[in-house]
Amino acid sequence: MKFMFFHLMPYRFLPMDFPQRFPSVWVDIPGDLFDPAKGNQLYNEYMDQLEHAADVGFDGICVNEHHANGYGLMPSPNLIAAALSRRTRDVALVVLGNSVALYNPPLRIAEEFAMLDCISGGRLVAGFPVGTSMDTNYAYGQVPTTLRDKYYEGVKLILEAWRRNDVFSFNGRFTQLRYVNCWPKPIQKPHPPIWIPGGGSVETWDYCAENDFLYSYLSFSGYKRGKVFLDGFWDTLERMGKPRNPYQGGFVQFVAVGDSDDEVAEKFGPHAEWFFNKTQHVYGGFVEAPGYRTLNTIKMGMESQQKSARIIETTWQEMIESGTVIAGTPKRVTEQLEELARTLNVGHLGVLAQFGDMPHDKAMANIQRIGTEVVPKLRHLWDDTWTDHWWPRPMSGARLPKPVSRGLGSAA
Amino acid sequence: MSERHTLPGRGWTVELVRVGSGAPLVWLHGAFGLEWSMPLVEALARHHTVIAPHLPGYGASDGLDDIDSFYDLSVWLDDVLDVVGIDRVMLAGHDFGGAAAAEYAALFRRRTQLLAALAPLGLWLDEAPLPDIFGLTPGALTRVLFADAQSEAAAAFNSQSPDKAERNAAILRRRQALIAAAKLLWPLPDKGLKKRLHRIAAPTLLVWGAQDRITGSAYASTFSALVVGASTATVPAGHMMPLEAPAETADVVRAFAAKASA
Repeated sequence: MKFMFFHLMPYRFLPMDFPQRFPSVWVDIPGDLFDPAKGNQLYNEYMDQLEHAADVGFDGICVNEHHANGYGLMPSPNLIAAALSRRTRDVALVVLGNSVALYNPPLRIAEEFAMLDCISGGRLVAGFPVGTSMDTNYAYGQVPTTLRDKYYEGVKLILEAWRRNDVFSFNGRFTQLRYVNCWPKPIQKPHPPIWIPGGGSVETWDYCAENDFLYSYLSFSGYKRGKVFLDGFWDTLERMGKPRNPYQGGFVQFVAVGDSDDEVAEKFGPHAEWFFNKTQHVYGGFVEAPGYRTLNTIKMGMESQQKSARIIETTWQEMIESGTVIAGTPKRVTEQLEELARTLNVGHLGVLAQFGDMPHDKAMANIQRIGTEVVPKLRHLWDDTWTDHWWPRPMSGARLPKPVSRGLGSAA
Repeated sequence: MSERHTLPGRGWTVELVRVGSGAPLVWLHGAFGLEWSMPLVEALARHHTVIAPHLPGYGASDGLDDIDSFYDLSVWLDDVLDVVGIDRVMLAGHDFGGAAAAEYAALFRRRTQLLAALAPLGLWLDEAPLPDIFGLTPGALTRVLFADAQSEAAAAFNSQSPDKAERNAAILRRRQALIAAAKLLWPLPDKGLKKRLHRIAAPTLLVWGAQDRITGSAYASTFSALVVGASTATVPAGHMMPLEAPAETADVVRAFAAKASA
């Protein structure tokens, strides 16, 4: 079992009455709510947290991409990953990921990921999300009707650019290139592991199963509600005659550790409530552009009464009961995470250990306790039966960064 | 009243409504689909044979996958006119269909006999940004589409059947309509029409709603300036004049058509 510390990088200084005063945390969040000096503080704290996770035992550190979003300060996860690659030595850099249809040409992603893989000595996981409708259609103006086709075409171009050493032409519907030549190439051959973060669409299950990509179900609604989506993926693999290797699956979960249930509730409850009450406040008109989901997917949703996994609970107690948050003593959290892993059959877990407006010290402590008191007890899971084909294979003898220079005349 | 035709060459299906009698007039519906201009179609049918195709992606009309631009849509319409046997066309359209009609008239000049564009999309003015019809909740959308959000027309547009199957079908129809419209209008409807409007040679009528909160007066004056010699009429409605003021709208179109053909 592999554990990644997953950071969303929330802007934790939104006004307390944000939902009353503003329509949306995403797309049209007012620019004057962002204080760049706070940005300096947050980016540095959050990267400290990611580096700390690497130090205390997480197998990977995970970053993602959002645009015009008050709870996700990473329009470019590659910038963060680049900085982290020089401050860490053996942790996997899970970039989950680059929204392929937003880059013109998508070859840019092949190049940047190849750079990251080289700099880090082959520690990159390459994530290719379609991206949410808020990010892709509203914030980045992509035509919803053709978004998925553009995405699939872009992934195809990237993989081909990594695999091939000849200079070739690409005559796509959305991208035409006379000379495709990805220089540099990634260390991992033929390419870094491919992870597809997805919601619950049937197309994504098929896509991952057919191409041997990892399927990672990304939601904030916890493992009890996530089961139906992972089950859908495992069933798809089974139908294709492929093994249900837990390492082909991933999941994301809020986790908080303390000395007692009461202490955890008191310490972390307000931050989880802040996350759901403030940052899940998205204007209804932005949730899904016409064409973001196909008519068939919408129709199936109507027939199966499958509810999209929107969070409804707002109090800590409700979050604990529904499984949205796993919290308690290290022992209790370990038991629940094992239950999660076995229930969902997943071998990779993204742990959201900083959430909402949780301040730096608390986040560092939570990361530390999960990394040292929970992760070691669960790492053995699956290893007797399954091999992780979706984890980076770093080169041997990689050049490692020098000790950090403090610069500007102070002692190194 | 509803017919299906096959476009030769592509094999695409076109579903269209043919109603009324008199000189043929081709009607192009707005972004939300033909059902929301039927009151106007029926009013026009008292003096014209109205031929109203569902645009690609709407109704049973297919081919949307290969319609990537208004140029593709104009060529599609030209094929449709061949199939229904119209040589020179009196062309009218609303909103999305108004932009499509203007694009066609600018491209196929000799085949266009007359153009009536009702609250057409197709332009963008920085000083008067259009509301985002694809990014509004139903309540907010109703308030920008209709002069009076409490009117019967607005109620009809938002009515929900008590029958679940019918209700779901209506939701899917609305979604299908917006998927097709967004294919060409996303994220802003300016796809270069301003560079082509000067080419329109047919007698042209521009019709605007007096209380239109989408294509308001700034759009009316810019459109008029770009289509030299265009006539203008105003009707007592918001943006959804085919639903809000079908009789008044039909009257101005019919009068213009009669005058132009005289």
